[in-house]
Amino acid sequence: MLASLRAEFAKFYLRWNTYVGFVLLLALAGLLVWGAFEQGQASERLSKQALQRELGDDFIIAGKIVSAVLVPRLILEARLPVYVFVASLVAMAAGGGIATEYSSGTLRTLLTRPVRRAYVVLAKWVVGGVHAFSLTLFLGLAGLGLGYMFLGSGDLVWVDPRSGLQIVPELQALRDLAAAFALQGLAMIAVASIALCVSAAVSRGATAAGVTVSFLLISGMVGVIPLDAFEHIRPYLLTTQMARFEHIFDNQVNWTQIHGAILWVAGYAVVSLIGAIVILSRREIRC
Amino acid sequence: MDPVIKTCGLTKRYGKRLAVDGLDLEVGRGQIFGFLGPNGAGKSTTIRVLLGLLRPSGGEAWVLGARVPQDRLRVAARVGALAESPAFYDHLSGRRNLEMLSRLSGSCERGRIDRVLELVGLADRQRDQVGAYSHGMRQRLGIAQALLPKPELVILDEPATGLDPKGLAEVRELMRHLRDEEGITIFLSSHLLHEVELICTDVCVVSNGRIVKQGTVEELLSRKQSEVEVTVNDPVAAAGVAQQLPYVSRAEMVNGQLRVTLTGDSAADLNRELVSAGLRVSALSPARSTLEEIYLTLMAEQEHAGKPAR
Repeated sequence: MLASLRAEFAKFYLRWNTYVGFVLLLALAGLLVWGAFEQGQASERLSKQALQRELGDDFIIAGKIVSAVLVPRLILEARLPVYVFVASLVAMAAGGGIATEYSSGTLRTLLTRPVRRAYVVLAKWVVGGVHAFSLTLFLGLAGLGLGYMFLGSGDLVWVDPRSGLQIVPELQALRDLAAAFALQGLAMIAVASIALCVSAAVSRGATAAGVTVSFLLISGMVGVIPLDAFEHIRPYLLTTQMARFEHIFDNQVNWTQIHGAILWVAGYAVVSLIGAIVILSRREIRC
Repeated sequence: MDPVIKTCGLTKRYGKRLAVDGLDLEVGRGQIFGFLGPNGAGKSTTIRVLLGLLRPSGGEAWVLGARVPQDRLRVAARVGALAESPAFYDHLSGRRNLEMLSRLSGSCERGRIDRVLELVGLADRQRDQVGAYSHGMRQRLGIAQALLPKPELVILDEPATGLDPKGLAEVRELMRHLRDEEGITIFLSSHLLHEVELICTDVCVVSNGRIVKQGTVEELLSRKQSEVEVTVNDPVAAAGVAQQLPYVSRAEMVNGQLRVTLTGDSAADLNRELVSAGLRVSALSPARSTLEEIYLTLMAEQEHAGKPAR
């Protein structure tokens, strides 16, 4: 198993295109920070005005409201960066794990050696999971790092539709953000697992990635389309559970809900992993 | 001695298509066994079944006494294989590819990678990315990875494809060396019949998934026992004399040499008649066909019969 793991890490991290995702995420974080930085005081003024509108005249807004911790918070709030962008990168990387090796013939070479197919899948799962988790964390860290460089430090000022105005001390905000990104990282491990499972059954990495992203999009759509028929399945959707991780920013965190979501996401990952092992173990190597 | 490879009624079906049809194969230890047949004859499928990459639809297969695919791991630990075109990670160097595969092979001696790279003539290019390798170099690397685990049996699917004449000669030498010096049994499929004739001790010809002919190369080449080649001072006159004889079914010139087909064991009678006719016979030897001739004849027979003959 250790040999398979070393082989997978070597294959994955010695490939230049592994790093394309990180570069793209850095560019995205940079874009967000640039937007805030360029607008500078205007941005701050507008934000203050927005807050004023939200809170009424009983409040006097003073001080700095745009700081480094705001950037990763925005990334999470916007959802698309993680739910679509990171998820697509993860699906592409993990989706190619088995399918690309199958079509290129390297899986055949690998399986002529005394290595268990389950170990091949497990090693790919670990590498895919580490990649998924590190991509998610990287996005948060890139936003935070660039934020500190160009926006400076400060408390997190946030207006949440559920809990109203939040002024979170910087240290507390960093802790919440770390937890939130870690939980989203876990969700991305589940996405990588689904992609790997599909990858075990198909012959093209793009197909596996496409199926995985489609699954997420459909799951997301079912989660928001207001039809009674969807009510029953909504709680079981991966995207529903992923969204629950946002409650980490609530004033009173409902840990039962967060733990439940962790179990659900872990369940998706484990079931997909088992699926991948079963599929590859039964698959005939014709390519 | 137990055969190194044995199949009994091995069958493999892809949907409705029968790729391997009741194959009974036996390969002995120390042989260089040539597995021949046209495209789609079932060679690669058979090899994949032997390597545990495909599950047979029927019948049984044993490699080094272990059943495949049930004991695939045991088999893979003792077998080196090149299944079809060699596939490697292009972004890694030849050496790193081998290092990776060597770790997966379990125990691999120190210095083994250097040794196999030396054997296949890739020592100078081991640090280059495989993506920059020519087809022949990839083929050599494929053979190198097959030799990594110090196997008892090497299964090679078309190992000579893409090699230049020098490369072919080197691979030929390598095969002999592996068998003679390292005691490795070699099972190879190839389309290069001349190469097979030069290096193989035994061959099996398959067509439509079934065995058409199996035996030693010697047996196969001397298949036309009733054909003799006559070296004579006047081959044309000799052909005229031979054609008159009742036990001669055919006398023809092949590559400037008189080739006579006899109906029985009457070579001595033919010699006597030719000498009596005043011709000077300097040699009379059993005609030796090339493997290519035999192969083409077998394939023509198959086509003509419309079904495989056992």
